[in-house]
Amino acid sequence: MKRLFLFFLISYVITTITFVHAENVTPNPEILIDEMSAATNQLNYDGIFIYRHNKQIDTMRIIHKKNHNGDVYERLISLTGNAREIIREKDQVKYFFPENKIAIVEKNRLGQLISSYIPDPIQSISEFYNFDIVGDGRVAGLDAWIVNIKPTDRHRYGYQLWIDKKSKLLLKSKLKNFQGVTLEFIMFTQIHVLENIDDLLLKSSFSSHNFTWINNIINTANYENNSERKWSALWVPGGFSMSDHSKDPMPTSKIPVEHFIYTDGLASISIFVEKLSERHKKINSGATNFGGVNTYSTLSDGYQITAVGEVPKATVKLIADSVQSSH
Amino acid sequence: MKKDNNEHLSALIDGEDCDDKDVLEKLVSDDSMKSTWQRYHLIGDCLRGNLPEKIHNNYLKDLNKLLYNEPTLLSPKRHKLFSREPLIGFAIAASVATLAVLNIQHRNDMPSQVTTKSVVMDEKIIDSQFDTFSFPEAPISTAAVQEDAEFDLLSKQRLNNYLINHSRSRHNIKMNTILPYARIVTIDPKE
Repeated sequence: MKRLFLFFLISYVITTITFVHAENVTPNPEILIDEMSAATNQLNYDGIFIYRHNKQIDTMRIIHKKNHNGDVYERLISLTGNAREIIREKDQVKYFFPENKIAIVEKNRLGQLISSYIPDPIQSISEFYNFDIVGDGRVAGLDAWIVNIKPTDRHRYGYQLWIDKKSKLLLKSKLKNFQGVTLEFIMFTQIHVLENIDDLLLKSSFSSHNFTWINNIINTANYENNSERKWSALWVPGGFSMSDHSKDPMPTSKIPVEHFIYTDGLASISIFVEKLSERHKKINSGATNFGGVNTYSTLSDGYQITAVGEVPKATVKLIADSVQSSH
Repeated sequence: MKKDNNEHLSALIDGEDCDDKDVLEKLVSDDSMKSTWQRYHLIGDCLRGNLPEKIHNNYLKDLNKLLYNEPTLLSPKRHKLFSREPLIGFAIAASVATLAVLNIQHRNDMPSQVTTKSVVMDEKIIDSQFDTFSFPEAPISTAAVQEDAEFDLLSKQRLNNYLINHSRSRHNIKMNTILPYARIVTIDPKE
C-alpha cells in the first residue's frame, strides 16, 4: 500500500514539474502563432479589450463560441461611443449601426471568423517577416509570451504580440512601423476561457425590425461578372498576391465598387475602383490614415482608384499609382 | 569675540544688549550708527507694514535738492522722424482697448452661469475660428460653398466606406484577429 502511494506521489510530482516546465520553455514563435490561430478559433471565451488608434481609445467586449457541430458564433459589442454590434452566426455576419438605425448582413468572406484563422502554414510568410520570442509579460492577469514579427523590407509594418502561455489566446497586439512606433493596439483587460457559453449572450441586444436592413448577400450576387473593364495593379510588394475580388455595393455609389484584396498572409491591401458620376468628377486625391491603416486615392480616366491597407503610406501610393485598366 | 557695530545695533533693536552702556553711548555719538539705526527701523516698519501712507515733505525736499546738485550731461540731440514714445503709447492704448472690447464681447456671449468646461470649450471654438479665419480674395457664391461642402462630405463618406469594407475583408488573415472588426465599430460611415 505504501509503495502504491509513493508511486502515485512521485508520478504526480513529475507530471506537475513537466507541466510547469513546459509552460516556461521558450516555444518556437512560428508554431506559437499557429497555436494562437487555432486557439482563437476553437476555444469558448468572453473578454473585454481596449482598442487604441491615433489618440482615441475604445473599449469592446467579444464573446466567442464554437459548438459541438463545429459552428462558430461571435458577438462584438462596443462599450464606448456608439453602441454598435457585430454578430457572426455560422457563415453570416450582421453589423448593427444603431445611431443610423442601419443593419448590414453579408456572407462572411471565405467563411472566416471575427477572430480569424487561415490554414496557410506560417512558413509561407517567413521570407518577408522575422519571428522572435523576445520575452514574457503579463496581460489581463495572465502570463504571456511576447512575439516580435519584424518585416524584412519597408513595404509593410511589424507586429508585437502577447500570447497567453496557457490557452494560447492573443491577449495584446501592437501594429508598429519600421521605426518601432506603435500605430494602433488592442489589449484585453480581462478574458475568461469557458467550457460553455449561453446562446443568449450571442444574440444582439437590438430588435431587428427597428433597423433598415441592407442585404449584401443578394446585392453582391447580382453584381457578379458585370465588368466593363478589367483592372489590375501592375506593382505590389513581394509576397503579396490577390486573395479575393468582389463588387461591393456602397451608399456613396450608384453602381458597385470593384474591390481587389491582396495579402502577404499577415498584412492586406484593398484596391477600390469606383466610377465617378458626371456630377462628381473630381476627387480628394492624396493620402490619409486611420490608426495603422493608410489610404491613397488617385484619379484615372473618370475612375477613383484607392488603395487601403495596414502598410506604409509609400506602399499604398505605389500600388494605387500602378493600377491600370484594359478593355 | 567682540561683535561689530551692526550686530550690536541689530541686537539692540531686537531688545537685546539694552544694558550695554558702551553701545548706547556709541549710538548717541556716532552719526553713521544713528543712520544705520534709522535704516534698520525703516526696514522693520516696511516688513511689518507699519509705514505711513504719506511720506514726510522733507523727503521730497531732500530728493529735489539731490537732483538739483546732479551734474548736467551734455550729448548731441537725436533727430527722429517720429517720436517713439507716443507711438508705443498709442500701440499699448490700442491693444488695451482691443482687449477690453474682446473681453466685453466674450463676457456678453457667455451665459450667466457657466462651468469651467464650457468656458474651455468656448475658448477652443474661438481659437479654432481664429485659426481658420482668412479674408476671401474674391466673393464666393453660396452655391459654390455648398457644393464644396457636399463634395468634402461625399469624399469622407466614400473613404470611410472603403475603410469599413477593407476591414470586413481583412478577417481572412491569420494575424488579423479582432482588430479589423474593432475598426468597423469605430469608423463612422456617415461622417
